[in-house]
Amino acid sequence: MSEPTIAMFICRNARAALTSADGTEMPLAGVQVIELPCSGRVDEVMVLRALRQGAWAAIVVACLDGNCRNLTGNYQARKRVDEVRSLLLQLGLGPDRVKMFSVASNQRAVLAEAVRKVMDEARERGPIRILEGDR
Amino acid sequence: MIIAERKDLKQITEMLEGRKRVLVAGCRSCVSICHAGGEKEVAIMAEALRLKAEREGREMEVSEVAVERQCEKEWVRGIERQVAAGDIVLSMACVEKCGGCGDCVLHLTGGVCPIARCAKSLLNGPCGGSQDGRCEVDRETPCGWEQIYQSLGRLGRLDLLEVNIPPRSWLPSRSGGPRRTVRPSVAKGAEERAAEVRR
Repeated sequence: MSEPTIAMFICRNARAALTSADGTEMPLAGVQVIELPCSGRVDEVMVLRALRQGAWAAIVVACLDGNCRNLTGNYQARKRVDEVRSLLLQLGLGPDRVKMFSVASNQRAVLAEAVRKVMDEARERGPIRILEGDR
Repeated sequence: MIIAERKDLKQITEMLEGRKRVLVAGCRSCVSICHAGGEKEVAIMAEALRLKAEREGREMEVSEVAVERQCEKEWVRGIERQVAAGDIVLSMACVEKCGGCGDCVLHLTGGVCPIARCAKSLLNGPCGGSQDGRCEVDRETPCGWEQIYQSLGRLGRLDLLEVNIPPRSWLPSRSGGPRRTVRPSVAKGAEERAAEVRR
């Protein structure tokens, strides 16, 4: 089976978490990073399109609660992620294909661990199939 | 006041079974304000349909359009060509003469509402009182089910008259209590309100 591909929608301010203090980038084989001006920019269409275009899973990376530079972007992102998960369930797809993580820009290890987990899960479940959801 | 809520996607995809060219048509008025059928919701619906079709390996061409008002012929005329190019139009707009029953069956009744147009709100009509296309309640009133029959005939879908609509739940109808938020993804949450107060 081929290796999984993951779409990562990440806030510009949280993106620093992908780089360590000495300037080395986190190895992200199979991860397509899509930088957004704020996680609040993410919407249902973006995530669904990523899944349609071949991503095995999608993750939205936002800043920690209360840390959004635009005040409420991360809260809005969370609501939209919930909406996408509900849509996937209605379509007969697994809602766990879409996840959201909150990280501070210095929590590199937390983000790396989250990406590794999603990658492992995607590898286990394979490419998206219809009727993999509960209904 | 018009309130709108999108149907479950499972139900919608069942309605589109076997169709190859779908036009998702939104409306920028009432349903847009309700976050149920505006331009944004049309984009989400179209993307969801494409995702499902592609994953199932079916061919389905989904196009999107939103007009100012679907209830005005002048606006709808502008998308005549797109409508003609499609197999089916998935309208996310509201309809005139809506009974507000909260569980629409227009896809089975040729776009004519049996709740609003039939004096008895029969789901499987017509009744014995329908004579010469008129209602027994008032001879001036056209029979709703006669209109449904004519409409289905024009659409070439008289087979839909064979579908038995089961007894329905009236819980979601307009008497179901005060207004509520249907799409939590667009409503302001407590944490957002708190963040705004802090500002």
